[in-house]
Amino acid sequence: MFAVIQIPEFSLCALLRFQPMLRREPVGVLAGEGRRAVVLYVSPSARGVLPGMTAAQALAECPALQLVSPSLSAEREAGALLLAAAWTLSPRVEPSSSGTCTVDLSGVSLDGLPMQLQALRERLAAEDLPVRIGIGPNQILARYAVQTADPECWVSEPRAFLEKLPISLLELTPEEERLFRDLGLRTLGSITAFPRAALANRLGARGDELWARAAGEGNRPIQPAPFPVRFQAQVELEEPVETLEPLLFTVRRFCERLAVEVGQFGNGTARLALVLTLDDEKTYARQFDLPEPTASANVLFAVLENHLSALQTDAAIVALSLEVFPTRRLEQQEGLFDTGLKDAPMFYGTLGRLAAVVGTENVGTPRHGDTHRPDVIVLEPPAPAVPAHVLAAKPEPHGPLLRRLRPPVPATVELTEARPSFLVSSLGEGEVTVVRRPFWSNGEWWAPEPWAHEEWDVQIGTGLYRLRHGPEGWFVDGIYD
Amino acid sequence: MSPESDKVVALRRLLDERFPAAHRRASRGIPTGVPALDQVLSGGLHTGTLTEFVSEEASGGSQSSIGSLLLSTRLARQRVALIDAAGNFNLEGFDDDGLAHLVWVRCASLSECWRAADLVVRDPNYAVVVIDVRGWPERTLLRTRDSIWVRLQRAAEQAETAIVIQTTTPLVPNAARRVVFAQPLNGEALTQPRIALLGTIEVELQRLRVREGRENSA
Repeated sequence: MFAVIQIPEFSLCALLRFQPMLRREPVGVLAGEGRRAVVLYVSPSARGVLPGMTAAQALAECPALQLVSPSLSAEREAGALLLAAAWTLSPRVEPSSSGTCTVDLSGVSLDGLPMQLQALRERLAAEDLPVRIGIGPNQILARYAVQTADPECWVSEPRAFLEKLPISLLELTPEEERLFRDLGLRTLGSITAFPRAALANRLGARGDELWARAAGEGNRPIQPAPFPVRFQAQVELEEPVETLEPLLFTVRRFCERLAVEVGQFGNGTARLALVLTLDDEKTYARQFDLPEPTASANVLFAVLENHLSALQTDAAIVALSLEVFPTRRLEQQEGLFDTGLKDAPMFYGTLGRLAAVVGTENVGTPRHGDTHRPDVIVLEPPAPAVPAHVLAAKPEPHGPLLRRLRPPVPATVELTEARPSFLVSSLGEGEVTVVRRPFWSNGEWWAPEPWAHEEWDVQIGTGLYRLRHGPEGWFVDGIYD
Repeated sequence: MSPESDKVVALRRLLDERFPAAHRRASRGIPTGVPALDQVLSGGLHTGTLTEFVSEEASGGSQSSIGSLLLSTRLARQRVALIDAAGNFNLEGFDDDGLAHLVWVRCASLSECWRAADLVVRDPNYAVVVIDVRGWPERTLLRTRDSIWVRLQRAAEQAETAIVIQTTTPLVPNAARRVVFAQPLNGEALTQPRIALLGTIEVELQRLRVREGRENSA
């Protein structure tokens, strides 16, 4: 069995998929150049315009018609998506022509095939690529079937199926078409009713070939397309992009195609590489490592969206390239005491959004800096799983925790016998009761900015504070709470 | 699965999304490690609800209570997010391993704080989200729109997260529980062992809004 999958009006579908703003307009896709250009496909809203009209004729019929040239990059993307979807049926897929591919279904269970075909149609329809599918015992019958499919056509009885099909399916030359019309042959059934030898005598080998094609005979070996080695999508934008929305739209389309491609081999991707080419001939490149392999277009898109939302480039973007690196998807059972992430993509997606709101340097798991200088903090990316607590031998902590004031609040301190006795600051003022004697600390005397200060723990009213005294003066460093 | 079963599952999911409170799962308690706090909260912080810690006193012990909460969640290996509106969190008193479960978000403004909180509370990976808005003037805090609290509450219900809001004045109109740290710590607290100190923290439950919608005020 063979299946032929076809995207009707391929150039138009591929174009509208990348330029959705054109969907509301009457659109015609032109083939050819200059005055000889004719309309190849038209959208349903282009009333009065028929394929084959010249641009002038089409515009005369529909003045609002948007005439566009086929987009090679859009067609390449749509074709790759079609191929990737076809590979979910069988590894032997031949891309026949633009927007069409032939699938060798040898060895595929026919019981589950209808559901697989429906899933394939739904998947491609979700990507704005409606398809029709013809299934037949050989390639020719499958190809005829796809012409009559709406959206599927199965050829179970070839003779009855071929009986009423028009001879235009044979792709005749004008002379051959005229001859058949003169002979009164208008359907494939009427050709096969004609003696094969008589047609061969009249038209030679070509006649024999046409009779065989009309009878649905002939089976040439298909040439399967090789599996992709790199999973990459790239486009040169027709106009430089300065805003986020059109860029995200293209990225979304790339993610959808690449996710299907890596997913079809049972793999996922854990790394993305994004390259933006700017109008000033510079490039912006960035790699993204995912917490776990995924083949979800939504997850891939969320990662890129978070990053691009906060990205500002010096110039407009003229080209975009996205590559994903496949890796084996791990199916892990959660351990009994596993406290890993419930939803890893969401966790890292949320971190990305947080970074876009507060800045990358303000989100993370805090760690002490490698110095004795007070309040040096390093924020690190959170671990995917919370590790077991290490019970280290350490002195028992004393006292309440400090809420550190950043920046510290300047204070005026009155001293009595070298001890603070009265404090005035924006936090308040009052008599100072010294609770603990000062702690002196200093360090990094070898560095350009050494530090040295003394700290006093004091009580003012009902509040417990830490005062710091150094070369810069007195400060309230924090509040014990 | 039959198409009918699919429809029933889809209908249930739709109803769950539209009316999350109708079939809310039983709330879990997350102990804070502060005896007085766990007592008034009936076992600790409750998931799916907002709990407000009001620190009217500068040194009422609420920060130490949060420190204790961080320790107990660390032992249970539960992830905690701290949305720090004024960037007051201090690492003194913790070692690096003790904060391995913490995601600290430092905000430069209150609007950043609310936006960050709105993102984090929707993430089911966090058991507890602490939103600390102390450090901002009361006048500014009281201008917070009610819609922010409603969004936080709805998100908490869906993600089964316990949310703590640390304030200096009663602020959250839809808090299920409001705890006031009314008694200031005295000077001796600075030299007390931390465990003993936590035992001296006194709190008062000012509001308890139970799930069925009844409201008690103390």
